[in-house]
Amino acid sequence: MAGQPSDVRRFDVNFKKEPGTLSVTPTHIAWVPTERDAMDRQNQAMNRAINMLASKAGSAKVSLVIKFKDDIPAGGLHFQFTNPTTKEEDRKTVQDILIPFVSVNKLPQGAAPATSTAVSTPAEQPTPSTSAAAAVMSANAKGKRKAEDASPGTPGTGVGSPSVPPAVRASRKRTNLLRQKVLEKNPTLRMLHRELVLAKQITEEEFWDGREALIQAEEMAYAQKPGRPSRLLDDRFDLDAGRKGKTTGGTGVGIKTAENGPIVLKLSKELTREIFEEFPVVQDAYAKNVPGISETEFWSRYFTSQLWERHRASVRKSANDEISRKKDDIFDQYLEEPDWNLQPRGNLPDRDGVERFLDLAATEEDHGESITVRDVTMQAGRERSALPLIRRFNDHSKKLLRAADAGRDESALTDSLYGSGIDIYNEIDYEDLRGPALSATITLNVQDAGALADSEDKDGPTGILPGKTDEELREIAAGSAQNVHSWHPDFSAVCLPNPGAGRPNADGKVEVTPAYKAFVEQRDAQAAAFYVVKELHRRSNAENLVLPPFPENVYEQMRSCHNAATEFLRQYWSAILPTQPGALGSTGGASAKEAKAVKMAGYLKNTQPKVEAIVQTAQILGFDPERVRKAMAPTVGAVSVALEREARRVAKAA
Amino acid sequence: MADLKTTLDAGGHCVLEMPSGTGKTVSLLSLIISYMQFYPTKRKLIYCSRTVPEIEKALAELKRLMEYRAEMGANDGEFRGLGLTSRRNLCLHPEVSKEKKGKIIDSRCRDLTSAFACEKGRANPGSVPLCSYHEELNNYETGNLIPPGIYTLDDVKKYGQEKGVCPYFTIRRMLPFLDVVIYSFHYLLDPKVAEQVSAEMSKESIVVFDEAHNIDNVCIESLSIDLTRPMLDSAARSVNKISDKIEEIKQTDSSKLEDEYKKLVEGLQEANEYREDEDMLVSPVLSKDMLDEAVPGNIRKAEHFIAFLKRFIEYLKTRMRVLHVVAETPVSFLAHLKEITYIERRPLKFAAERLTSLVRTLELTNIDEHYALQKVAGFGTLVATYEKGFLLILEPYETEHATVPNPIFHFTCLDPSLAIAPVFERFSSVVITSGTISPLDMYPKILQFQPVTEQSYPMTLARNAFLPMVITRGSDQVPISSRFEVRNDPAVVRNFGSILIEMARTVPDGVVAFFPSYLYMESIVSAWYDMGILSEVWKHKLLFVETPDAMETSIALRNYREACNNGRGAVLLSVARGKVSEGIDFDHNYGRAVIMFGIPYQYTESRILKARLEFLRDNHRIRENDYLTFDAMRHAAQCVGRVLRGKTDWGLMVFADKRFARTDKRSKLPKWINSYITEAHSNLSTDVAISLAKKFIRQISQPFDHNQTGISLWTLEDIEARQKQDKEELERADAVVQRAVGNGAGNDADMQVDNYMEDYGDDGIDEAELAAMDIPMELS
Repeated sequence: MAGQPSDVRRFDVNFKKEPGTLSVTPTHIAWVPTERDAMDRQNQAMNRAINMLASKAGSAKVSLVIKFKDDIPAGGLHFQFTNPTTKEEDRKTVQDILIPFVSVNKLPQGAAPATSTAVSTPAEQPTPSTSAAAAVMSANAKGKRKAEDASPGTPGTGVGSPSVPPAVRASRKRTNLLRQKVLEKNPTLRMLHRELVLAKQITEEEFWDGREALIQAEEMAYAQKPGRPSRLLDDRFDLDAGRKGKTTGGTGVGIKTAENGPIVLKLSKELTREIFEEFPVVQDAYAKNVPGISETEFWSRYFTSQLWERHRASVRKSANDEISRKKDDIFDQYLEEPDWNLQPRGNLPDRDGVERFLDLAATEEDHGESITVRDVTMQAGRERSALPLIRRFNDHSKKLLRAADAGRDESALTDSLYGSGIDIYNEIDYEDLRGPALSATITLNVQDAGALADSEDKDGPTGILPGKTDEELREIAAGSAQNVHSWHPDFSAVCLPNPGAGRPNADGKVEVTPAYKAFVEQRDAQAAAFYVVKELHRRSNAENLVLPPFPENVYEQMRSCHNAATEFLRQYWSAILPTQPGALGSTGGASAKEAKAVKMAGYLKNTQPKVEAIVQTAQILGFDPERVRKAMAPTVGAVSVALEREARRVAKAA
Repeated sequence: MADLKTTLDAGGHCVLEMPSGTGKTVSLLSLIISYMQFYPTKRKLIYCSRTVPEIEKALAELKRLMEYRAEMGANDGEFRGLGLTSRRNLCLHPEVSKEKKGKIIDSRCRDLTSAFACEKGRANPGSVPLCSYHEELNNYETGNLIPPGIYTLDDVKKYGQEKGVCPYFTIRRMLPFLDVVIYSFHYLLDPKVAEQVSAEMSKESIVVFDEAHNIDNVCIESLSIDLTRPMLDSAARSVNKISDKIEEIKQTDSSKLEDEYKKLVEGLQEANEYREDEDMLVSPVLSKDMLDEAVPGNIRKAEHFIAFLKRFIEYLKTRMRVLHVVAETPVSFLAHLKEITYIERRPLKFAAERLTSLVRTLELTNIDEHYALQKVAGFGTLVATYEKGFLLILEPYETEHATVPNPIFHFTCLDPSLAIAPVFERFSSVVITSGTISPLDMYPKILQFQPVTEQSYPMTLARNAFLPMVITRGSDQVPISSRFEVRNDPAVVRNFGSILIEMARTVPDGVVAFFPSYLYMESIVSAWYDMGILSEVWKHKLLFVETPDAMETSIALRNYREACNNGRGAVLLSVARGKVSEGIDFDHNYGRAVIMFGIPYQYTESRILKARLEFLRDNHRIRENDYLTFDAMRHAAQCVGRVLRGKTDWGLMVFADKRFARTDKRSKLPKWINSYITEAHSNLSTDVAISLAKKFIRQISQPFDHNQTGISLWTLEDIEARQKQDKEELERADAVVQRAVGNGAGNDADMQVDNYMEDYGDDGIDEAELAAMDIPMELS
């Protein structure tokens, strides 16, 4: 995705007067010289940075000194930003990225845990080993937000002020987590976020304002609990063998892993819960015995007991007739005859519990006791060992179904509770036998729609050629047809044969025959026409010509500029336009909106100069500035529309 | 509809095949009812369906139809329609209805409601428990137990609850007064039941067999009896019990037996007269003249009859000791019987009837105890009554490999026409219809009747709503088949499994899979489990399996539907001739794909089947293979057709067996399915089929304009236009004929044409029919 490469930011930077590129990744800061082997590469982990020193703003050299822990490398690294147009911004960006690290690392080691609890974001825990990009991102964001929220004057301190109540802190933590997740999932948004928020163009809150729907969706997805895995408990098929460690949540697969030698039991909490759910007797046994014997013993005995073999309901021989199996006083008392008779052992609900449409028993009854015996293959339940298995399948499926529905309204789920009297028609009604329903059209609320329709009727052309009678039309048609019929192509008139230049005269001169003249004329005309057509073709295709691509840095700048402008526009319009009904989190009153609109308008005004700057860069690089301008034109246009409107609005207000 | 009308006018029978989900039931009902109401001679409609759900649905449609007719201004006045089902489904008695077994409910109900119990109970309140619901019925006017209208089974039950009357007897007693009766096949075909339920139906009635593709099997089943050793033992015990009872009665009340004896002399008919409510004990069909005959002397006395039964049971027991397979005709059986026990054919014929009479006389309760004895008596009667079309088979072992004898004495009917013949004889119009009864000529042949009309209607679909695919090989190119020799081959089992996995992964919502037999399903399910295939299926969908118990299966079904509704998706494994395959629809999201694992052939090793095939070959010249394939394919089609209900519905049909690729198999599928199997889709491997399925699903899920007016829904104008067109074509044809014949015969031809035209005009669909026709549109 587009966001991936932008994790690494590159800047033109001199290090010890050697030109090179400074690349900043979420975890490391590295410098590579432009000329190979001109200078050693520099690479430092971010979390070792303890201090930054910047040259004064406005001075000729834009430089940054970064100091690292334990003073290695000695004196830190001194970078000088060289990019003629963006060196100020470059330094700012690098500083922004480094601020949270510095703020964390600057503190004495002992205070670090305290800081982390105060900030109360797991991502910000000063564990240098957590080097995931996301963690840093959020740490970044957090530091910024805290700076804005708690102590605007001191960016980078990032320590939550004690005045924030715990409830608020908790909710903030949650929101931050969610935001972080949204950004993780959405690379484009993450890029935008970095460009705008981390570049301190707008605040975190402003950025998220109007994006509540995203947060909410994320929250909902996050709140969803994973359901029960649908597979049956069985140890024999380790279907996930290939991707072990990936699946969690105890599917029962791989309860036993016998790898040359002792049997290893892997019991997770989920697994035990699942076993309890599947086999209530085990829970019963557990409740009775476990304080007495250790949990490990309980489970190991269970898995070697006959009960477990029975529970697996395997039809393999060993499961049923292995007498050598040792007796187990706990579990053997739960053993019972397998449920393999024709009639199920369990209590079935009353026969009214099933809709008549599904009531197979009723039919069986209606047909009377069969007085004939069906042949062997059609006698259900002859294979007795399969019956417990089948029953278990049905039972398991039912449990899964119920588990999914737990907590939901029962009556809403069963499609038709029998006895309501109406649903019987549902069963016999075919939707498709109904007549075609009129498609629901949405009437446009056009003002004075009637008049419009009338005028169209009046003025609109009727027929093929308005204003002509049918006879006239017919005449035209007949004439055209006549023309077509009587047309004969006369190729000889168009393309003359080369008559030859004529016979040479006695004096060696070639006498040009008139025919040849005509031929030459025609040839020249053809050549000219060919040229013209070719030229036309070239020109018309000029638009589609594959142009050389934009240089990368120009392209990056353009994109950044465009993204920023779009975001400002979004914010601006959301501040100007009335809040949509039902929109999430319409925060702040009119005054807040007003302030925001003014602020955004201010940002927007910077767009044009930015574009100009990019154009200049392009010119310097010898790239067609016109193309840059064209590419940016829509953005600039949109901005100017907004600005015009803003000007009008301000004028009106004044 | 026009075909149906022709049939009704001609007073003949017809066979109609209409694709499922095209509004078959409602079009049948609407036409017949318009017809009934149009002609003043009230003809009754007897509508037979297969399962209770279908009966209930048919009732609901009828109810809706009548509502619509009322809306449209038709005055149907005292129109009544009810459905009949067993006591178990209707009983309201607080204790009796708790019983699980229908037989016990029947017997307990009888104890509470039989005539002698009622007499006693009324004369001396409190001495005998009576059913209050049944008693309450007496307070209502005969023939008006329930207000006119259409009631579904549940409506009747609710009504019964409100009024405190017994729904079962309400319906039973109302039967003669109803205009429409909807019940199960068995009430008309099974002679044991038909006698008392359907006896009062007038000859003029119109009989419709819906979902009749399995009708021959029902016929055969209703005339076959199987006896086992435990059954005979139980019968012997009840004989002893009865003889004790006789002794007892002799001591206390010998006049009762005397009375009975006298009556029996006069004939069975009168003995039966005053017992209208009893139905448990009615014996198989006996012809009218036989009923009037006097019961043979040697079994008139109760104790003689008991001795007679004892001898008969002993004889059967000795026969069962034989350890090799015996097959014989009833005639030779009777000859042998006479030789050994001196039991003649004639008294045996009356065995069941005589037993019934005896049970009544003795006022026995808990009739279900004597169930086995009834069966033995019924067996005797049947053996003695029918000579042709039956076969007695004694199988000492259940399977070929079994070593412990478990003898079964099959008395099997080979000729389905025997059971249905009385129906065809009695009723002038019989309509046999189903979604899948191809080939159409098979049915008249095996049921032995002459249809006036045979018609198979194609389906008009606005788009290709279903995709039938024949998978013949797995992804590894191993051919798959449920043939007996290869079905348990691990490669085949695995390939079947991978089809299921892939389908579970690809298809949304519900997937239904059918196996050819319970035995195979049970073995393959455990094999799949052990191979880890089911664990893979669990990942995508929930899994439900049909079990032997009907109630348990119903609950599994309900859960299955719920899983389909809430988006979890589920797979249902079931059996092609089993409970689920009959009468449960998997429409819309309940079945987006059906997988047919193998061809549902019958168990060909079965001796009964072999005998039946032989019979078919000898009598109807139907080749064994043809019949087997026909039978298998109709079941396959039935299973597969369950997915498609209505035109907005769509689904995949997967036939997973290499034998489906052969044309002789496919040609036996109904036209409406067969025409959609393209050559390209008839020989696929799993991976190709899955990619096709994906494509199909993606395509079919696109929003689709469901406006089908003009394609498969016709408005009134469309129909009129069509009629006009038909008329014009006729005229043109006639003109051509006239020109050809010339002026000489002109006058005659003119006359004929005119006549014809008039007829046609009359035949044109009348207003009411039209109204009924475009019902669905107007309903919206």
